[in-house]
Amino acid sequence: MRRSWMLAFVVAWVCFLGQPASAENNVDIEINMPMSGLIKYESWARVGVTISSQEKDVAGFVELSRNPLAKNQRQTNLRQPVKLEKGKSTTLFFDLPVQLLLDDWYIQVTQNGQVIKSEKLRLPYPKDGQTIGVVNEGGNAFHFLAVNASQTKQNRSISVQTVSPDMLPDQSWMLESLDVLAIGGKQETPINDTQLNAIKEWIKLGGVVILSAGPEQDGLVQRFADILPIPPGNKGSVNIADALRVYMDDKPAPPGNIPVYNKDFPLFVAKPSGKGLLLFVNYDVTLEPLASWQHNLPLWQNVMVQQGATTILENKRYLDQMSRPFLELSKKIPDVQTPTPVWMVVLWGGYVLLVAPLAYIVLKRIGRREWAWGIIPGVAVLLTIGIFAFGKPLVVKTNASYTVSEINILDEHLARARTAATFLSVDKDGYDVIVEPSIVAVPLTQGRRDYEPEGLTDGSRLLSYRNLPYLTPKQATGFGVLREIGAFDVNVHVEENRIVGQVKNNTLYSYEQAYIEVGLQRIPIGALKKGEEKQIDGAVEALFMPRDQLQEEADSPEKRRKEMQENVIGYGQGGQVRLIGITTDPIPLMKMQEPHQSYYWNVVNQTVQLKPQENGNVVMPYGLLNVDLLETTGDYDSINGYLWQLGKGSITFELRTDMTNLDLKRLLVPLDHSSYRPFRVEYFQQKSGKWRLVDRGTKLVLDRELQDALTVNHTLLLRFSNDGPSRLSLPVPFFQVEGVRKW
Amino acid sequence: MREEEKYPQGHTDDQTVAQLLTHLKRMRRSVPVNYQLKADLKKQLLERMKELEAKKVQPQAERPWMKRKWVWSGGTVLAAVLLIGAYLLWWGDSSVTINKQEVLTLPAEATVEQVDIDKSATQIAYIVQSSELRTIPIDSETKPVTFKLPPTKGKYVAVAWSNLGKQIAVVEQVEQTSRIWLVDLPTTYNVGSSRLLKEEEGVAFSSPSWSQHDDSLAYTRSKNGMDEIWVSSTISFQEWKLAEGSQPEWSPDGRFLSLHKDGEIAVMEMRTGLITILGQGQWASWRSEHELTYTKADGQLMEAELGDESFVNRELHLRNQSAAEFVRGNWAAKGKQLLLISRESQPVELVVSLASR
Repeated sequence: MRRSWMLAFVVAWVCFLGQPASAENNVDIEINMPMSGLIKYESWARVGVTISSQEKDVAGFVELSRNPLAKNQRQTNLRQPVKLEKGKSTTLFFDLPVQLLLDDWYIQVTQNGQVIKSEKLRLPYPKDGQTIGVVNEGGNAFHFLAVNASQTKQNRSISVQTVSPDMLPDQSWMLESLDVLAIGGKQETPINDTQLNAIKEWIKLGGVVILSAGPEQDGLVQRFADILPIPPGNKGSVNIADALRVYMDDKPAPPGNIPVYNKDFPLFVAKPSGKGLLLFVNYDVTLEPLASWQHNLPLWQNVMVQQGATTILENKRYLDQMSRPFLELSKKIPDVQTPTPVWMVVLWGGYVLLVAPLAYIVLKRIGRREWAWGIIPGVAVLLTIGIFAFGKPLVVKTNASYTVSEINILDEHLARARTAATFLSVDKDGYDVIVEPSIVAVPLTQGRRDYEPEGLTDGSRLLSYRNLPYLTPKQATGFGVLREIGAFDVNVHVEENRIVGQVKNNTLYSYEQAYIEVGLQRIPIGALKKGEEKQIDGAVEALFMPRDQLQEEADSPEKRRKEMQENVIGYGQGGQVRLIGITTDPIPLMKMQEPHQSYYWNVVNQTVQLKPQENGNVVMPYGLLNVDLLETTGDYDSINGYLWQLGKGSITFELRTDMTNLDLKRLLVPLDHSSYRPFRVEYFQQKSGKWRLVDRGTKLVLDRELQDALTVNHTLLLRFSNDGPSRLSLPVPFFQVEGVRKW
Repeated sequence: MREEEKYPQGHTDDQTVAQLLTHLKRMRRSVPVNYQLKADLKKQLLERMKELEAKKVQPQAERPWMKRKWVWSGGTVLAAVLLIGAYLLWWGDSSVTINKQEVLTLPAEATVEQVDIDKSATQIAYIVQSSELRTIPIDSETKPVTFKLPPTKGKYVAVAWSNLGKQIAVVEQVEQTSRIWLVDLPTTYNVGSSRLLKEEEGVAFSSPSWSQHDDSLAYTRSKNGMDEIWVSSTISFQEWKLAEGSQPEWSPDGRFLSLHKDGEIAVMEMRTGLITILGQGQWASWRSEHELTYTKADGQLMEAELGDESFVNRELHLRNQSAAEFVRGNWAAKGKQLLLISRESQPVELVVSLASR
């Protein structure tokens, strides 16, 4: 009898296990990534999930889950609906920041709340250093671009990865996984127009494309003619030694000639476009003798430096792809007053300490203690209703959203956008958000440690939030491009220690505040209405250190908000002058599909190209170009990155004069200022290989002797020595350079 | 017992028995009357006792409560009177009490600028042995610090503690050259250092004063007997002349700057440049955003309260003051502590004391 029961139990258990097993067998999950899984930590990536149904129809969701079996329905999941007839397959896409994807994730197919298939998401680890994608027939083109970390100045390796044309994405943001795209003259399959447009847009966004073409390899050269026109049908050959002399004067070039695409052009021609660059190589890089020349590595390093590609690659800003400062600021929805913790403690404490003991005492006196069973919960209910009735209108009156965006204008047609928004519904437990077509976004929730992707998407424009607890704000972050928003017309130059000129607002927005940012200094312009033109005349300080914010007194909510706004504005990098406008005009990149009060806070910025003075020289003012710490002897310390303490010993700074596209004519360092007087100051003269003393209390001015002083990296070394027993501080030696723009 | 058993039949004295019976009958008649009376009397007595008891109990129960009430009321009133009296006596009075006499004494050649108190009133900094900066803790949590300033052939003549308390400005005078150094005091993680903010020949710098956020320093620049107030930025290389005069002192909110000119104390509003003369005196120090004190030539401490368009001057009394001649007072702890610098004649020395109000 007992055995038969056990047998029945075993049969039932096997049947129970068998059911999901059969469902699991019904569905196949295949995960694929664009460009053979090339991903970079500081970018977003697209995860393609192909679902195939074998024997039964599937109607449910494809979910990105932290748990292999999502029994807990409250866990955070990013879902997309899927409906599939048997025998069919479909591909869904999840676009997420790579830093999120590197956690443990499972792709699951769920139906009626049950997980019918679960597959661990396995991604290739993001590459360190820079990645060059090579598109060329055969696998060996551009192999000489690969560099070990030890061979580079920044100690970052450069790896080369072959990419077939059909692997190239059709959206520009997906190319962000690459640093450089090198395209040879021969492709297995042609690059289609959509891919080409994505590549051109990526160049504007900051990408570097190297395009090589030998004689009659017209394929792509003419398709890039809108950026860099190279006339076809003018093939020829040039002497290698002559053509390379400007890059390799100390290395013997291979003898003979090399055939070129256009004999009227040099071997290397670069053309900036937006924030990026197209570098045309006027010969077929797979052609000998240059293809396997032993000095290819230094040649290409020099080419990349002299043509400006290295500057672009080094100046790329590391951006938090989650846009956390944006998310933090967007939580502070204007007019939504979170009750202060003090009031919550008073109400709760009042109830616990006053109502219950009071009711007990009163009821005991009148001999009706049993009434406490009704009165205490009754008062609790009344208190809840009271708090809800009176408190809710004080917290928020209506549905609301707060969108924080940064728009970086590249030209009048294209701008890069980053955005984050917080949505708050007061009367519904779910709503939809429509995302602009050119924006990629992900719905988020605030997890225990960080933001977690959570919500329902359709894989493109729709973000849906469902089953929300009462008055729970939800968030989303996104990035992408904006088209045809116009640009600022900025015409400024530096004269002595002033930045002068005019700016005209040709964008779609009016700005409550605008600034010109030079290094760490912000020169206020005031409000700038749409179409308005303003004159600029502001002093540029020879030294400017930000005030130490940590030393400030206690935070107020308004001050905290300002700090958050400052984190969103940030600072430009790489020696760029920026024009910054702050506007609260509506820029609805992610729009809540419910009647609601929407608030915006937008930073619109544009890199400003400084114009030349009357003598044709462009002046890069103090504080714009970086000063790096190169070498120290003795004890030293940094107070805030701008002040250095030095005991007995020396400290050598590298003035990054290489970060500009100027043919340098003059350099000034204000060493006459009192702060530098206690030190012995020398600069290194590369030509003689000796340190030259700078007289105490005098400015360092290098003009004719400048080129002799610059190192092979086109930088200037400045050494400060302290021979005394006391530890002394010195500010970073900011400098000013003048020169003629090379491109 | 039955009647027949009590009185056996056959007794001979019939008359006696009859009399006895008569007497008994009379007695029986009279007994109910006595019992009634007794009951009535008892009842009346009990009622009377209750009344008396009630009368006794009532005043006994009320009296202690009333007493306590009177005691508490009286006590409260007394405490209130005492508090008001104390307030009027201590806080209401515009006097300052010296509670730490002779915290520090400096040699006769020392100047009143060689000592300063930090803004949170936790320590005092002063110059010793020409090139050593020392701090004395006021509270128990702070440790004393000795910091070696850059070696000098001259001497350090002035110190000024920054508002955030992490830096001290010191003035060095070497023959014809004057320097202002900014000293980063040593911390647990840093050994401290000095930064030369300003060096100039043929002038004498003195009386440095930090601005609200410590991002600039005002000081006196004296050249050929002419005093000027200059400001140098501590976060940039900017410097500019502010006014004619000396002894600049920034108000805590940075709205005003007090200065000494032609023997008088004046206040300049930074936004408008408007200067208001407060009166004869020297060494002004801000107690709050609108109140400052200064010292008259006779050593009297004066307090000036600035209104929107006018000001009020009054004398500030120093309690427990010694015979030393009061010269300068520096406020700290948001106007609660005062560093007093006096000049003693016997022996000749500079005496530093602490006072509070």
